[in-house]
Amino acid sequence: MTLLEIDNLHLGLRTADGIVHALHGVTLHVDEGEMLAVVGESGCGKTVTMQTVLGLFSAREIAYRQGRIGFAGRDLLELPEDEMRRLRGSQIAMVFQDPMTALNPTLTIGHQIGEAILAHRRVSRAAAMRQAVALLSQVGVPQPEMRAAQYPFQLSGGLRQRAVIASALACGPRLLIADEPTTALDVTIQAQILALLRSLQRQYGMAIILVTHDLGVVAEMADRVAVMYAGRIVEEGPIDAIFSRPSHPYTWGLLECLPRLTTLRSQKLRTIEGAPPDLAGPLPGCAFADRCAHAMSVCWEYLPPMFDAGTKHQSACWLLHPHAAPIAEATRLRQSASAPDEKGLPRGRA
Amino acid sequence: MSVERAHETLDPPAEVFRPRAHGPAAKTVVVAPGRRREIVRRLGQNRLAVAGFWIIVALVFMAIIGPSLVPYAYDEQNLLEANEPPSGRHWFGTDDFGRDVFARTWTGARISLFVGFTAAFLDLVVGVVYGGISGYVGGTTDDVMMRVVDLLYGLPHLLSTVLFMVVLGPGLFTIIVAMVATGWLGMARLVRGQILQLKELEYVQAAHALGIPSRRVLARHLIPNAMGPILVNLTLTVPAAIFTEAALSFLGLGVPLPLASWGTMTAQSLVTILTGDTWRLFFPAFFISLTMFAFNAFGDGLRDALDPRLRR
Amino acid sequence: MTAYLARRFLLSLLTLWVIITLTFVLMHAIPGDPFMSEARISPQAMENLRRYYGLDRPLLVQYGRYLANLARGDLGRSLRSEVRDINQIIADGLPISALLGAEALIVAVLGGITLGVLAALGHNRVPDHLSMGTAIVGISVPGFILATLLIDVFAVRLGILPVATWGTWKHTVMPAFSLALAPLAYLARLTRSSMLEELGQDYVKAAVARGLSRPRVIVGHALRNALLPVITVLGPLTAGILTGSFIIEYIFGIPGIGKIFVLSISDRDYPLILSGAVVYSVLLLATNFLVDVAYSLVDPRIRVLGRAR
Repeated sequence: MTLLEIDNLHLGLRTADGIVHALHGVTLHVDEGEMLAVVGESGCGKTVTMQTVLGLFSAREIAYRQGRIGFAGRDLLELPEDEMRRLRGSQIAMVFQDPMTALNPTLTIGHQIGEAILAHRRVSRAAAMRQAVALLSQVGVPQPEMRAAQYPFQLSGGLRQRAVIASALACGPRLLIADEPTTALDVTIQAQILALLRSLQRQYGMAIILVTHDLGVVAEMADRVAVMYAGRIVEEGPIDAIFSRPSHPYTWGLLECLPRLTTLRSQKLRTIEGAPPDLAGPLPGCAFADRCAHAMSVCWEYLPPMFDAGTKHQSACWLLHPHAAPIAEATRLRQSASAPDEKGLPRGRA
Repeated sequence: MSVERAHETLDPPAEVFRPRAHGPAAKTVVVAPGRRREIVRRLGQNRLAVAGFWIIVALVFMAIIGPSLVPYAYDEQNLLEANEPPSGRHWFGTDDFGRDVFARTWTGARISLFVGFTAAFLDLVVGVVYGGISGYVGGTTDDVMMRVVDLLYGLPHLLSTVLFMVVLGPGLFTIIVAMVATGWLGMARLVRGQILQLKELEYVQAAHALGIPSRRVLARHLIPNAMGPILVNLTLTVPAAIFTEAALSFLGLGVPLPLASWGTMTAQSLVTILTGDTWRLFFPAFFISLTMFAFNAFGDGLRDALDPRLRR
Repeated sequence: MTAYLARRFLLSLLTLWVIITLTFVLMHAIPGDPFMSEARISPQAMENLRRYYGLDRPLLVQYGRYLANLARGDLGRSLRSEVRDINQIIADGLPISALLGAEALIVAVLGGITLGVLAALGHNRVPDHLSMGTAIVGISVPGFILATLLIDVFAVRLGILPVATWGTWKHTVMPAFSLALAPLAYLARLTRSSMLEELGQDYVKAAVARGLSRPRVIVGHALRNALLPVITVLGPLTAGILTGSFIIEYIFGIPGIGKIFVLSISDRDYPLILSGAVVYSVLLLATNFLVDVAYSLVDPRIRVLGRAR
C-alpha cells in the first residue's frame, strides 16, 4: 500500500541571491513498511524534497510550489499548519544529517526527546521523561538515565545520533525520513547506526526514506532506489535492477564512482566530470546533458519523460526512446565494459 | 513551469536523436565576480549604507568649505546681533555673543571629523602593531600581551578618557591622546584574533614552507586578509570618537573656548530651552546625530557586505 | 565551574588593583599639587594643609597608605566639598545613582530584547523596519542631546514632567529614558541578529519536525539560546549606563555620584576623582563578575565543563 506519494512537485525557494528553482517535478512514492533510498550528489534537491514533505519551509521562503504530496489519503500541501504540526513527529519523523547541530546545545537529551512526546500526547512531564529514558535504551544508548540528564556536548557523535533517532521514534511514526543519517559520523559508527535503523524498521513496521549520496549504504539497506539529479528523479527501481541494469547515464556514473574490491590499486577512482547545473536558470532539456558522454541533440532541447526500463524500473533518459535505440546500442555496449557486474556489487563489502 | 510541461507531451522528431559532441560542463561555468566588486555591489544594495556614505561625503565637503561660505569668522563677536534667529544674514542664526552659528557649526564639523578620523586612525596603528605582534609571535609573548589588554579592558572607555583629560588638560590633541590611550584595546584584540585565524590557513603555511620571511608574510598576506573586520571596526570607531569628544566638550573637558565644537555649542545652548531660542540647540544637536547616524549606517552596511552570512 | 569563577574573581581583583594604581599615578602625575592655585593661603597654612593630606610624604608612602585605607573601606577626605568625608559623599550619592541606573538598565533590557525579538520574527517586514528604525535613532542620538530634547518637549513645552533635581518617580522618567535609549538600541540589534542566527539553526528545524508548536520552538529553543550573547554584553552595557550618568545627572541636576564625579573634576578635587574612579571600577567589575556567574549558570557548557566556549 502506498503511504507517501509525491506527484510532480515543483518548488522554488527564495534565497539571498534570488530564487532557486530547487525541484523540477519530483515524482516519488513510498510503500508502507518499505525502505526507499534517495540517492544523488549534494545540492540535487534530496533534502529540499524531504523538508517539503514535512512542511519545514516557511511561507516566506517559498517562491512557488506546485504538485501534490499525498500521505495516508491527504494532500500535505493543502493541510492547514495546525494539522501539519500534529502530523510532524507523530506520523512522519525526521532524522537530521548532523547530530552536532540537530540537537539544541543548551537543553538536555531527555528534555529534547520528552518534548517530542509532550507535543503529541497528553502525559505528564515525568511520564514523558520516563519514556525518553526507555527510548534511549531502545536505541542502544548505555546508561540511559544518566544520558537523558546530560547535554549534547557530553555525548559522542554516535550516541548523539542515537538520541536524535530516539526523539524521532518518540511517537511511533509511520514514516521515518533519515536525511544522510551517517554522513557526519565515523565509518565504524555509520554501520552501527544503519543496523539500528534496519532493526527499528522491522520492530516498528514503519517505512523509511533513506537519503544519501553513498550508493554503498543503499546496497546494504534499501528495497528500492530513486536516483535524483538537479531537482528531478532520473531513475527509479528495485535495488537489484538499479545495480545490475542501470539505465540512466548518471546512475552509471554514480556506480562507477564506487570503489570496488576489484579496483586495482593503480587505477584512479572514477569521478563524474563537471558540476551540476546552476538551478537559478531555466533548463529546457535534460539537466545531465552537459556531463553526459552519450548525449544527443534531443537531450538539450526536450525534457526526457520517464521510460520503462524493466519491471517497476523507470528511467528519464532519451536513450530509451525507440528512435535512439540504434544509436544507444553502441554506447550501451561500450558502457557495459565498465558498468558494474554482479561480482562487482558493493553488496559484498559488508 | 508550463513550458516544461509542453515539452513533456511532445514527441521529438527522429533527427534530433543523434549524438552531439560537447566538452563536459562547457556552458555551466560561472565566473565568480571579483571579491572587491562583489562587496561594493552588496554595499550599494543597502540603502541605509548608501545614505550614510553620501551624508559623510556631504559633511566632509561642508566641513571644508562651510566656514568660508559666510563672511563671519567662527569666533567673530557682534553683541549687537546676539541671539538672532536664522535669517538671510545669519543662515543658522547667532549665539549669545552674536557669533554666526553657521560658521561655528561647520568649524565644529571640522573638529568633530578631525577628532573622529585621527582617533580611529591612531587606534588602528597602535592596535594593528600590538595585536599583530601578539598574534603573530604567539606563545608566551601573546599570553602576556593579551593579559595586559584584558586588565585594561575592564576600564570603561569614557571613565579612562575623562581621567586622562584631567591629567593632560583640555585641548584638541589631548582629547585624541586621551581617547587613544585605551581606545586601541579593542582593535588590538580584533587584529590578534584575525591573525590567529589566518595563521592556520594553508596558503600562509605554504608561504612559510617556501621560506618567505615572516615580515613579508605578515605584510603581504595576513594584514590584507584581516582588513575586512578591521575596516568595519575603524568605521564604527569614528562615531564613537565623535560622541566622546562631544560628551567631553559638553562637560567642559573638551576643546577650549572660543574654539567651536558641537559638544560645547550644545552645552552653551542648554539655557535656550528656557529662553526659547532653541535653534541654537538644534543645529549642533542635529549635526552630531546626523554624523553618528551616517557613520553607524555605513559601518553596519560595510560589515554586512563583507560577511554575507550576516546579511539579513 | 567554581574554579572558573574563582579565576574570574581573581582577575577582577587584579584589574581593580591595576585601575587604582594607574589612577593614583595619573592623579599624582599632574604637575604641582592641588593647593598651588590657592593664592590667598599663606606658605605656613599651605604646609599644614599638605601635611594634613599627607602630600609631604614620598609618593610610595602615600600610595601604601592609600591602599591600606582603601582596604579598610576608607576612601579618604575631599579637598573642596563641604562634607569632607568621601565615604559620606559616596553614601549619599550612590543610592540615587543606583536607582537611576537600575531603572535605565531594566528599560534597556526589556525594551531591547522585545524590539529585537519582534524584529527577528517579522524579519524584513514592518516590525523589523520599525524596530531597527528605533535602534538606529537610539544609536545616533547621544544621551545628552536626547536629554535636552526631552526637557524641551516634556518639561518646558508640555510641562508634564519636572525639569530637574530629584524627588518623586516623575523625576526619574526623563533621565532614565535618556540613559536607556543607547543600550536599548544596541540590545535590540544584538538580540535581532542573535535570534535570526538561532532561528536558522538545524536544531530549530529539528524541533519543528518533532511537531512542537511555533511559540514553543521560538521561546523554548531559539530565544533561550539567543539570549546567551545578550547576557555577555550586560557588563559593558552597565558600564555604558554608569558612565552615561556623568552627563545625564549633570544635565538634570541629580545629586548622584555621576554629578559628584563631574564636579570633582572641574574642582580638581583629586582624592574625590580618585575615589570616583575606584567606586566606578568596583561597580563595573562586580557587574562583570555577576554576569559571568549568571552566564555560567545558564550555559551548560560552562556549568559542566567549567570553562568558556
